[in-house]
Amino acid sequence: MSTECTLDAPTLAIERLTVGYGNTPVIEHLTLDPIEAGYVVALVGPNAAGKSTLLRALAGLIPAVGRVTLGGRDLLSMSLPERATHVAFMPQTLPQGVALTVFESVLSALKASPLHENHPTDSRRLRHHAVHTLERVGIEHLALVPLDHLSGGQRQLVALAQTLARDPVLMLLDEPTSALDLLHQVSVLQLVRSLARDGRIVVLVLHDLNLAARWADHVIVLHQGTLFTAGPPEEAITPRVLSRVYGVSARVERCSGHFLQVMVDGPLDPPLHPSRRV
Amino acid sequence: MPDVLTAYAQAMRRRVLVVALLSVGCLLTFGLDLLIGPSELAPRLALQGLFEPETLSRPQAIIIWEVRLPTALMALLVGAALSLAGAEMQTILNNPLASPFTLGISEAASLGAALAIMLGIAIPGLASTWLVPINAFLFAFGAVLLLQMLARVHDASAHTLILFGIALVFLFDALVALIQFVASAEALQQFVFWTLGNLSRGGWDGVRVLSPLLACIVPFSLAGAWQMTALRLGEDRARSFGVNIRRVRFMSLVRVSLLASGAVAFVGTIAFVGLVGPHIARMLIGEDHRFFLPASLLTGALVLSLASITSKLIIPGVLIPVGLVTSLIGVPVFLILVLRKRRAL
Ligand SMILES: Nc1ncnc2c1ncn2[C@@H]1O[C@H](COP(=O)(O)OP(=O)(O)OP(=O)(O)O)[C@@H](O)[C@H]1O
Ligand SMILES: [Mg+2]
Repeated sequence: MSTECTLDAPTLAIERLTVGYGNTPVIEHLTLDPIEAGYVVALVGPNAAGKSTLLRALAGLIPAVGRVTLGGRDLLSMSLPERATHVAFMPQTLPQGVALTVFESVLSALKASPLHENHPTDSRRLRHHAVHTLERVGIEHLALVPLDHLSGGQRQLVALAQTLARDPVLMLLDEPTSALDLLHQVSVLQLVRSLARDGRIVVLVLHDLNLAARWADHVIVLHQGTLFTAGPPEEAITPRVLSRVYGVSARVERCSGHFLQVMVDGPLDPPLHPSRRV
Repeated sequence: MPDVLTAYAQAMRRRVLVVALLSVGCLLTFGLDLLIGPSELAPRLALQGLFEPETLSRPQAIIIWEVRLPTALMALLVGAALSLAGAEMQTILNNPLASPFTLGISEAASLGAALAIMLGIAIPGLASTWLVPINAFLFAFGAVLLLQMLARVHDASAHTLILFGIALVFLFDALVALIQFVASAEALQQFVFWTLGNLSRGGWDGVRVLSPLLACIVPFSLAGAWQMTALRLGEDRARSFGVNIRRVRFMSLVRVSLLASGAVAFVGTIAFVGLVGPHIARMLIGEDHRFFLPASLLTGALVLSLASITSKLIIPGVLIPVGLVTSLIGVPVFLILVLRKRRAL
């Protein structure tokens, strides 16, 4: 049962990962330092840098070449149902026009394929688990609301609950806070951090660098499909990185609460990538 | 916590009730369908004859047992088959406008029937009464397999399936037109009659084939209910829940093609039931497929049974092909339903 032990405190290792759509690679030969359980990792970078592509590859949604291991087990060669017991992915969008309630959508996440072994299987306990998941995200009052009647931020919280429900060791969240108000941003990131502290690995894409600096243990800056830099927030988020990667002139200062604060003064003058298109 | 679960249990009970009411509705329309008909047979007499067959004269007994009963059963079976197929199709193609016939299944069946009726081309060794339905079935089923093969060469996405499916629709239509062009006037008339959906054509043979077909397929449909529900949340999400979408889609397409081609083979094309049945079911019950699939099946049966009754009432003494009724009456009724639903929101 050594594999079980390693998955209790797993490490995510990515080596020479190449991912693309059709014949055009988006990410080429990406190698990252191993990511330990218990940490929140923020994936940042400009639009089209390949952040979503990386997460989708890790989730097994698009084919990838290279070596990705989770707790020593090869993630890329796992079957979809097996991988779904360890990894969960929260996409950037939730489809429109679906006649399901919030509770049903979370239940379907639990029932769509078998969960890992130490999870309840009987329907009554699964329903309790679904309610518990909604409570953790703070949306139990929305349980019986149809998905189509939700606001943008509520939809995002529901999407998070669907991902959280399966209780994966590796959580991949694509911009989980982009539609949330200030309080919900904080509570989601608090939740994310407590999930990580419970022994999971959470990788989340964030566009708000202040949030990344405040809540992530480790920041990975992706630029045009390659690793630009990675490290603790104060090493990864610097004026130099901001100008080279985002093309903006910015200051990074420590505010009174001791957290990094990014202030953008404007586009670089002259522009660094005059022809860059998103 | 108990609040949510209580409310959920209540919603479940409501759904079970809706499904039960739909079943009762089907039984009622089925009974009505037996009592009404173009021939001179008072409903009271027909009712009596059902329970005491010896009170009927020989021709009356034939009307009830050989004409009305199989036709009424076919209405339920074909409605159920097409609507269940439509519900699955709408989910796997992620398109509320899809129907069992979206991907060329009915055109392929027409091609098979056209070959059999107008050119006499069919699988050798078949009894002549079975020639047209079996040919229609084989072509319809073959079309889906062809579609799968084509789509697999590419990426087997919903989008690809729809594009290839529409291409097949045009191809088969053109081939049918070509056959019509060279056919004799007599054969042409017979073929046109075939294309008008007609429930009485199938007879007991149709019932004997369709009922076991449906009975075999429904359990498989229901077994995949949670995966289909997850698919409604989007492909990426369903796959990250561990659902093998390609497989789900393929298995579902096989079921759809069996159901749709089985129905088409015996009664011709009956448009609209496979589109409207799932829509009504969705309005009534939502898209939890554990309930949505059976509700679609029952709604389809109910709608086609009602259409069968209507087809006998529009012009007294004349039986209008039911395929015309579903389109002529069904379309306005459906539009009203949709528009009322819109206003309510
Ligand atoms: N389905 C797809 N087919 C082809 N190319 C794609 C597809 N999805 C993304 N791409 C391309 O891959 C590149 C990276 O896209 P990706 O979605 O990973 O960016 P991102 O870093 O998530 O950006 P954003 O911040 O805007 O979400 C882009 O150049 C994009 O055009
Ligand atoms: Mg993205």
